[in-house]
Amino acid sequence: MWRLRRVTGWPYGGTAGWWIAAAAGLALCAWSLTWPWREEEFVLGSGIRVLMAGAGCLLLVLTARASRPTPLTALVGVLGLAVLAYPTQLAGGAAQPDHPIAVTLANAGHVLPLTLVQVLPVLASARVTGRSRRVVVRFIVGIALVGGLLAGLSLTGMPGAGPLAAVSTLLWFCSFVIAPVATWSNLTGIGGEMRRRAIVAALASLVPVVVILWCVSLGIFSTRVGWADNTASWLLMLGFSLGTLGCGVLTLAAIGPAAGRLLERRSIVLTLDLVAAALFVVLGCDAALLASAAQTPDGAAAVLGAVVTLALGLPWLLVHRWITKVVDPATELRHEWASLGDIEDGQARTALLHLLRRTAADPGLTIRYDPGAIGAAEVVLATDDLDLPTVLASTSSPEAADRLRALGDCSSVVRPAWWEDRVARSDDLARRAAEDERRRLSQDLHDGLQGRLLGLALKLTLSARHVADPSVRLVIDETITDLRGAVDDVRALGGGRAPALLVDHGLQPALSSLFRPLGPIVSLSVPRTRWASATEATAYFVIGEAVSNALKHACPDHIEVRVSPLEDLIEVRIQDDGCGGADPQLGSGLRALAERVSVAGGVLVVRENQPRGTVVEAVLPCGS
Amino acid sequence: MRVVIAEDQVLLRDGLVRLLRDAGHDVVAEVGDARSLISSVNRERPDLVISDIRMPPTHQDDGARAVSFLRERFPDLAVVMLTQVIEPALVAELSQGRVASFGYLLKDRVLDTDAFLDQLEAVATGGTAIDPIVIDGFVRRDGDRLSRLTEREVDVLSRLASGRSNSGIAADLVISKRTVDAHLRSIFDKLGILSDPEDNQRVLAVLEWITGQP
Repeated sequence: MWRLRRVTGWPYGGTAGWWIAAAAGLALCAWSLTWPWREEEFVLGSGIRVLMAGAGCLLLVLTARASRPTPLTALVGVLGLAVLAYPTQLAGGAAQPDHPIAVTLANAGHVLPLTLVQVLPVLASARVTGRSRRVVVRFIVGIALVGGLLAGLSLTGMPGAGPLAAVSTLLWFCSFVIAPVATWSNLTGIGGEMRRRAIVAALASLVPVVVILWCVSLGIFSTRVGWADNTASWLLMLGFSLGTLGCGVLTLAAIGPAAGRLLERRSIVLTLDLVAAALFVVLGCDAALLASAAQTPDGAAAVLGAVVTLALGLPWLLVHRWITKVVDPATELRHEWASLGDIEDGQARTALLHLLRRTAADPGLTIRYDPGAIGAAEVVLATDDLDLPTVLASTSSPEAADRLRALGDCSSVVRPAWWEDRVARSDDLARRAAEDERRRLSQDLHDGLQGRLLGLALKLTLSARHVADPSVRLVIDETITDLRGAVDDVRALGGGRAPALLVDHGLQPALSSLFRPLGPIVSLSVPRTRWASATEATAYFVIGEAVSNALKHACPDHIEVRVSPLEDLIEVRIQDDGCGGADPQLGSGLRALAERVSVAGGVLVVRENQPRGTVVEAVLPCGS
Repeated sequence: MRVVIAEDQVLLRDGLVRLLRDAGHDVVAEVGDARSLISSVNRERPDLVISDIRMPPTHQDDGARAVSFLRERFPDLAVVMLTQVIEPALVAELSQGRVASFGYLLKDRVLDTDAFLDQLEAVATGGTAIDPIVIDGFVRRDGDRLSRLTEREVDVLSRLASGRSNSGIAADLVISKRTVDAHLRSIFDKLGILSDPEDNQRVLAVLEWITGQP
């Protein structure tokens, strides 16, 4: 008990209060069973009264066991109390048919529970969606009060009491439409768990409708057909008890813990089916009863009832798939995603975009993968562990945004695309870093080392002028020549900068110009096509390096350079007839080549040429 | 001759200063970045500026941009650009169509000290000194023009563009000075450069080569 007190903060524990109320109500009901039943028009057996009290007790127990006491759970408790008290009130009225207070209590006993079953779902729906429905609640309570007042007035036996009672009943019945409309309309634009909770609340609002239809059917039945009053009465009370119990249970489930069984998609669909089935059966019975009341033979009336039930139930079965979609639109998306099968590398983002565009019926929809500020028309599709958005969709209309929001958390569908984006992004980062590094290196070589070597050579040249000894001058001259060679090497090493000819006119003129001094040794077969500048630069570099490697190491008579465009690739082949022996594992020149090609997203293959020489092949993406 | 040197590589700059001082020139300022180059030229009004292309602050083409700026404001300023890597297409851009008093040389040329000093003199006196590699690039690339000149004439022209005098060209090619004159007249004829004082003709011929416009 102390634990409960600590949790609730109430002096005797909120739970304890409900337990005590349940025990007291049960005791009172048990006592009422001993009272005489003097009322003759409306007879209620003790069995059904115990059942009604049981339903009330069950609601009280569920309230007491609710994990977090809130005003809404307290209201469910009040509903339980009202249901529990109702049989006692009825017994009181029947025991003292002349006592005005006892009769009024018995006659008005249903007003509070039936008002609550309308209000509770609306409040629950408002709570789980965070959208206020105060106006609706006030409206329902107002109608209940007016209906109750009119019913009370009609009981006083004043003139025009009959029509007054009819108006109050009509008003009362009509008000039962309000709650379902309010709760089901609340479903637009929400998704995931919140949507499932709102659907459960909306289901709770349908229960009273079923109950009231049940009551109406029995009313018609008892007045027109003349079944035993006793049977009609207990069937009426059975409907009342089950209806209020169902409403209370669903309301508690809607606001209850996340792991609640009733919040699972399957349970929701099942409940929806059950409620629908109950509705159809009730409507079928109503039809049969109406037909029977209109002097139709009993057999024909029964057939008509069955036909009505089937006529309503069969289409319901057909739209079952649609129900599943209403309950969880993301299911549909998951199915569609699964039906795409294995998606090729790099296509996940495109596939997701098309899928979402179709789902949202918004051809202008775009997806953002960078977490950042969320715009007004943007919908969060997936979040990370910290609940920060990882994937956003920007829609061009609020309706499309609502459709997407109804999908809820689409992590499972979005994840492949998100990964793909991350991989692409880190690839891009690495590529840029490598590019920067190369630029920095080339700059260091040019501006630093080359200048310094030149400076040294110049100083030596100037110093040599003052040296008279010819042998010393010879050594200095040799050193200067070596330094010049070093300067040339450094220039060749730092060949990372694309020459202007390549940038302005493309690969073919740049390569022709590059290899012209080599004359007939190099034969070029390069189309005049222009490609992306990065592709051209890589191809230029690869060809230049490969040719210079071949010239340096293989002493070829002939080098053939061929560039062939494939679909969205270009294939670069440098083939010599030298002594061969190129080793991609060891040669640093070849390794640098392979690295540069892979950074550009291509592959490099080095192999022996037949009958002699080496073939260097690179396949590069065109980057279009 | 009063010279301003802009080169961020200190070792090379010192060498250049020594080379020029030894040759009897007056190095009035030696700077290491583009902004100081502009302010020192503004202050000293030198006869010649020798400038690196890549220099601080951005290490891109700061030197080239500073020189363009200076040539616009001081049209008579003689400039020799030094570069690490020759890019023929850059010449037209750098010279802005005015090849008089303009030079564009690979840094390596400083090691051939005498030729380098000659080229500096040529530029300072209104001539042109374009690196032979650039001339090669232009001549080879432009097939139509090449077909109009004989091989010998191309040799003469490329030497003319790199700042050689007629006698220098004659010595290089081991031909007589009169033959050089004859080649030059033929070149001028073929390029449609006529009836101008000879100095002007020479500049125009080089200009024709480099910019592709008469």
